[in-house]
Amino acid sequence: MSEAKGSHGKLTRRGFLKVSGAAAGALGLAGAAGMVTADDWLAPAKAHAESEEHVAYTYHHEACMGNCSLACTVRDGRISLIQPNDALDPYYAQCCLKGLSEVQHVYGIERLQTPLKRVGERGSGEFESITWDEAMKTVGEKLSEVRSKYGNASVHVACSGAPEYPLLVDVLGASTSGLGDGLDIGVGNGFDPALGDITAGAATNEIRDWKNSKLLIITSSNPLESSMMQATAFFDAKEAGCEIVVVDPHYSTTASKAHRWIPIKPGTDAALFLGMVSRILDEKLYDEGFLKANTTMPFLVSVEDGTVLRDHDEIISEAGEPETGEENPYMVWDGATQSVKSYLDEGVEPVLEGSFTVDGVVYEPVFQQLFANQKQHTVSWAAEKTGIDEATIESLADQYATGGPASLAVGYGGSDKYSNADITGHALALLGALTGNVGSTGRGMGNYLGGSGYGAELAMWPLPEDMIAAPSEMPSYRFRTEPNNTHAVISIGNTFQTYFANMNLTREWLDTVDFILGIEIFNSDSVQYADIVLPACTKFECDEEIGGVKCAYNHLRLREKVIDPLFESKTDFQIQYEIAKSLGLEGALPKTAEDYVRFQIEESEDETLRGVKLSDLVSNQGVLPLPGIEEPRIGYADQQYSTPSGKLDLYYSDLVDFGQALPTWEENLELFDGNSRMDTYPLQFVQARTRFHIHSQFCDATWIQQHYTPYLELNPADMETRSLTDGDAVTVFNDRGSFSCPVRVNASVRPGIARIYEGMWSKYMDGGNIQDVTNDTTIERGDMLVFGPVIPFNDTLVEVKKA
Amino acid sequence: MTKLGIAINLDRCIGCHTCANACKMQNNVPMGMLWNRVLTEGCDVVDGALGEYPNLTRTYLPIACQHCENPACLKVCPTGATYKDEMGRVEIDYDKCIGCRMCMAACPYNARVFNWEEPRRDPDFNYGDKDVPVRPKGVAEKCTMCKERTDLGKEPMCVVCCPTKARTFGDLDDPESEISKLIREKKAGVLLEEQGTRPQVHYFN
Amino acid sequence: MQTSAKFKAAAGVLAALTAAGVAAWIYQLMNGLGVTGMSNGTSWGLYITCFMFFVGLSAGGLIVASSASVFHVKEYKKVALPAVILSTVCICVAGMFVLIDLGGIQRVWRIVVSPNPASPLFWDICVITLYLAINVVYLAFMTSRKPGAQDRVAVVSRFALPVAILVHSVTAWIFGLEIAKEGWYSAIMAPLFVVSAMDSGLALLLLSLMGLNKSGLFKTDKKLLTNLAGLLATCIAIDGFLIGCEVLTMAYPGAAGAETLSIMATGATAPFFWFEIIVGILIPLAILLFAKNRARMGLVAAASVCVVVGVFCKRVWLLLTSFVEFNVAGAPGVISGSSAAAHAAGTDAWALASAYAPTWVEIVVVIGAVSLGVLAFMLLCKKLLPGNRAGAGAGPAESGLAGEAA
Ligand SMILES: Nc1nc2c(c(=O)[nH]1)N[C@H]1C(S)=C(S)[C@@H](COP(=O)(O)OP(=O)(O)OC[C@H]3O[C@@H](n4cnc5c(=O)[nH]c(N)nc54)[C@H](O)[C@@H]3O)O[C@H]1N2
Ligand SMILES: Nc1nc2c(c(=O)[nH]1)N[C@H]1C(S)=C(S)[C@@H](COP(=O)(O)OP(=O)(O)OC[C@H]3O[C@@H](n4cnc5c(=O)[nH]c(N)nc54)[C@H](O)[C@@H]3O)O[C@H]1N2
Ligand code: SF4
Ligand code: SF4
Ligand code: SF4
Ligand code: SF4
Ligand code: SF4
Ligand SMILES: [Mo]
Repeated sequence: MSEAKGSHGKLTRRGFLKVSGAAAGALGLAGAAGMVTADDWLAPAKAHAESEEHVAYTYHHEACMGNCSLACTVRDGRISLIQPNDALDPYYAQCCLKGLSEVQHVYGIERLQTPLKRVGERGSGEFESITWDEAMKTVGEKLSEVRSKYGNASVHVACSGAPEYPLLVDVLGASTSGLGDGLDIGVGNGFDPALGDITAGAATNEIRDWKNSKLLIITSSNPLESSMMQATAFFDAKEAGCEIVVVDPHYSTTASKAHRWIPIKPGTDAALFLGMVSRILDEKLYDEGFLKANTTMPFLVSVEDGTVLRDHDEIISEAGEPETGEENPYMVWDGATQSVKSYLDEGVEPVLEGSFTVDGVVYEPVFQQLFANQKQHTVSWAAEKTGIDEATIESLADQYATGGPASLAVGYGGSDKYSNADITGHALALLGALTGNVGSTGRGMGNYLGGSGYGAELAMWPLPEDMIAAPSEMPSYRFRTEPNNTHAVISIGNTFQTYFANMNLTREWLDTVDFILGIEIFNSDSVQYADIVLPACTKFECDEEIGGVKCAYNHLRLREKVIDPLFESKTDFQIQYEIAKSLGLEGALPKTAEDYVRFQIEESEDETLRGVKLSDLVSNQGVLPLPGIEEPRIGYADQQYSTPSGKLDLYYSDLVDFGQALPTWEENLELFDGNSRMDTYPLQFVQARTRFHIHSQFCDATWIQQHYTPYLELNPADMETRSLTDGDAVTVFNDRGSFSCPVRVNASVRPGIARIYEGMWSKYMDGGNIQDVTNDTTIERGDMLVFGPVIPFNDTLVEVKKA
Repeated sequence: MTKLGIAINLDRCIGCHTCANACKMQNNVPMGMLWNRVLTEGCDVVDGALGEYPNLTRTYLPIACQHCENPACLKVCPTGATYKDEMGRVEIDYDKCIGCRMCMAACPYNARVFNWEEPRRDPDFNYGDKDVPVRPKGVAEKCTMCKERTDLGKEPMCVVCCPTKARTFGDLDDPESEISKLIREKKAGVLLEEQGTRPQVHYFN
Repeated sequence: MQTSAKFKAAAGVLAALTAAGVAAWIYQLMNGLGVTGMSNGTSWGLYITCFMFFVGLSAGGLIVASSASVFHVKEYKKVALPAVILSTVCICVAGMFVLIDLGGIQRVWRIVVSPNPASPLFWDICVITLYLAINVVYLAFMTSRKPGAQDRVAVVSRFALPVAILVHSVTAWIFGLEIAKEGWYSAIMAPLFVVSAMDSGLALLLLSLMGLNKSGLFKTDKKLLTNLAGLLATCIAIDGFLIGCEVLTMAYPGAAGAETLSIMATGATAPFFWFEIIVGILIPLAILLFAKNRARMGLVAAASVCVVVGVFCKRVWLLLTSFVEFNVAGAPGVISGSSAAAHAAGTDAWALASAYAPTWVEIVVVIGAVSLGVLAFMLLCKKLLPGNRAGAGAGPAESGLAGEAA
């Protein structure tokens, strides 16, 4: 029977998918309002001579920081096969199920096909298909109107993690929000000041260095799902004899692959770290030499007001720059001479303990103060807070301090998303400092998302001086509650749903905005609120040969055209250009994406990119290893930190007023024992990442749906007390709102917690959205922190009942 | 002789289902089927756990055709559509398959899937390797050990794409092959040994 | 004798049902087996159940008829002709179910050109074909008026008996040789199939003979029916005994078999199991154990109905129980293999344990096939039974009419 033989050249029932830009354009319009019907874009069958096949290279997603370089086989103009780029060393030639599933997802039913104009209420999802010309005319008019009325800064650009709009904000002179606005900065707020580099908690060493550690503690992170490209490093370390311990309230995928899982009460990571600190102090397990040489522990602090003793009263320069340690040295107590000395003095032997009077004021070294401050953080106290028994905390501390090189990894999920996250970050840095577990082989700490390897700075396209982003008026989530000058919002991606907790407040705010432009690939929740919607291309589509360049996992990675833009979609580059053009500002932009990419690479001032040409990348299947990546990156190997003193700084003098100069335990906002709110809403609501999605993405990918569709998870005990059975439809609610979906029973989930994976589109829930219940309260101290307050998504209490 | 096999390191397997989708993609497997699935062993929910919190264990178990040396499916196939090829792979000649599903009843691993209806693909075209035959409705199918790739000396797609390199492919008859060494050194075992099928897919920790 | 209006009406209804079945089957051919309730988890369903059932039903007739010649059981000779007609029709229906169940019937010729001699299905098809041939030859000789036909009947029946036993055994081996299926993999499968075939076949024969009595197409003497009922009782007892053996072997080690047992004792297939034990074995046995009851045709008929239905239930639990659980257990389980509305999409396509319910298509097809069988039986009886043949002389089956005095 001939039917069984290979026949890829033949047409399938539904027929041949049109791919040429122009033809697809005409097609998309044929669908009028039907922006989500698949039949529209599957053109009628048309003869096609011979199967033509070629391979093209692109990179995949940004949020997991994988940016995996994918080799895509294109047959008859359609993506038929995706695999890791084999020009990469096998160690880096990786991808995950989401990358592969793009074979389907790119052609998915939820693709936006044409520009749309809103015809119903905001949020109703009622749109009409319009032409690009009409769309851009409206965009130009609306933006001009707002700009002339309220100034350029009244336009706000909110951009999700993946889209590439590098120049738009500057060209428009708009304000912007991004991760800084309360996302992924909780731990970094407390961690970054210690090192002086503003990296949102980025790890000091690379993941490939894990194998040099004797102990790797992973807390608040589930990299085997949220950073799958770290799996190799994880297992290499495990096989090399590094003991891996995962601290997580739930038996996560990573926990199940570790040597040891330590279940912790949610939101109490700081308590665990502080308990470990106490143990290390009590047992004198700290590295005294390291503390004296490389940290601010010997610095003298006034017992009375907590100020740090310096050579002279601080003079802030006109530009607002504080004085460096060189300009205004910090003072220590010299053990040899029994006198106050500059920490920079030759031969100074700073002491860590004691109390000294200088000019009538009593001073103590930071370390002495730490001792005092730690009195409240005993191991038994920590055991009580965290639910981890004392012996475990003690042995973990002992092992971390004295068991050889150790690394401490923290995530952007978990403890990052509680109100006390900065304390966790601060305590984390403190732990590393006390034990000298920073700045050498096998000794790293921080957030390893993205591998934390070598980077190279790409060149910035020069724009006229007057084209510059407006200073941020306030974090964007405050637009919802405070008077502000934002009148137009350009939302690129799914920002309204994913960026803000407490969705009802977001909806109220959106009603007041004059103009909302949505730019999306898919028909996501945020699209529903836009006045004009522009359809963007995926990372696989391009209208020219070169689309973009990125640096990830020690490699420069190129995005080439895989297929032509589908339907009437345009590339991000092109849309950025169109928006600028609608205001007559396009002259400042590069003409083509290829020009831009070439500029980024070839004009880079980064040493590592010297002499690298775009053509080198093209001829090597779109990837080039950065020079010198043979050995894993070890940060701060010279023990020079970017803090004013150049030392690892554990004393945050600007937080003295908040009692947080040294990390000091503070309860969460909602999630704490004895909170009366628990009488009504007894369950914590936690949102983690899943390997099946990237936030709200892939909800609509049918190849992923075969493995996973949204559900809430509860421990069997919590199911029982609520008389729920596996698969029941439930409603999750609190006084902020509610949503509904099925519930599944899972012993991996800690009793007392309702777990879900974040991001789900409303249409894939039985009702509502997870953000309808999440906590958006920010704390006062937050404004003092580098990144401002964190959104405490996980610090949310709810109750669950049968729907 | 060549006897192709796969060895899976269960310790490295993170249950990511990448192999499942890699297989689906490579082999143009329609909706509603997979040739390769990843079980959370003994659990009722994916990523579930055995035991009671916090005393929990979990094993991810990727499972596809085991390319048995003594294939239960082959013996029962009335037309010889199922055959063992010269490379030691168990294959199906779709032209000979009468859709009786003897093989499905016989396979202890539920490794086979059936084209119960006109295959529906999403996206609606024949994706995957162009040399993979398109199966009509009414025939059984299963993991071919990526015949179209392994014929050319390439690794199966699930092996190429596994992000943890948990899967090793090679010749079991060659004592020096990586897979043979792994099986020896790690004392790899097989699934449902008592069924006597002598799988060529080995598992170890 | 005129074709009665009643006969015509019955034939009409049966023809209509047959037509509906054919239509449903064409629908199935066009859309694939996805229109049935089967899935990758339960890859056989009602059709294979009916196949097993009808193979069994065909046994009674031929075994009774050939015993008549082989063991010279004189009385059985009298009903040999209707018995063989019944047997022939049942085996045809059984064969039909195998073909209906095939996903690729257009390729079925492959069995002939590239047979796999190791496959029980291949052998089953061979013995069924042989069995059918023997039935047809048997019929031909029995109805032949040529001299010597009678002797040939005796010769054929010597083959018929072992082939009949073989048909049931080979059918049993389709299941009994599958190590993968806990509930099937058992040496007792063949004897079990043989006795099940005997009791259900005998019961159906009894019912058919009573039906023929009633319709006046063919008269069977009550004594013979009572006699056959006695044989039936013996078969039921053996059947019960074998099931007991099997259940004990499954339960005793407390291993995998016990799990399968729990599915049929308390799980998904329990209603069928208990129905067959109680209605299919205990009740008819209780009735037929007493000679007094065996003489009461109403009770014999009731017992026979119980046995036929009971054995059908047995086929159901025997087939389906072993599909419920998977040897390698874990979420998400086994994927349905179908994206049609009958089987859900997304994660609902998975099952941790398999479930099966026939769809309307299967039910209509089965009704059609059975109707065709009944119709064929009626027509063949009408055509071949002596009472209806013009100038019925001293035909060999003529004796069937003898001594009918009720
Ligand atoms: N597949 C996938 N990968 C992703 C993303 C994605 O959406 N999908 N998103 C990317 C982005 S933007 C981010 S920010 C990262 C985040 O990635 P991760 O940092 O790994 O964050 P999560 O998966 O949210 O949570 C990690 C773990 O923290 C645990 N946890 C929850 N509360 C606590 C707590 O109080 N203490 C401790 N110790 N653990 C707790 C959760 O159970 C979970 O297992 O992932 C990135 N990678
Ligand atoms: N409740 C709760 N909410 C959270 C979190 C949480 O833990 N709990 N985590 C927060 C965190 S850490 C983060 S980082 C944010 C993430 O928030 P987002 O970055 O907004 O998350 P995504 O859903 O990945 O959104 C990306 C969007 O961009 C679109 N997109 C993808 N690629 C491209 C492209 O190339 N071009 C264009 N134009 N569009 C593209 C996608 O279709 C998608 O809609 O979510 C936050 N929200
Ligand atoms: S989603 Fe998967 S394939 Fe894509 S970049 Fe991340 S890890 Fe790589
Ligand atoms: S791809 Fe590899 S790690 Fe992922 S499930 Fe398959 S075998 Fe396991
Ligand atoms: S696993 Fe099943 S299908 Fe594969 S060879 Fe073995 S018996 Fe046959
Ligand atoms: S379904 Fe096909 S492969 Fe399976 S036994 Fe029947 S003929 Fe052989
Ligand atoms: S070897 Fe090929 S066919 Fe078999 S499971 Fe792996 S990818 Fe699928
Ligand atoms: Mo994030």
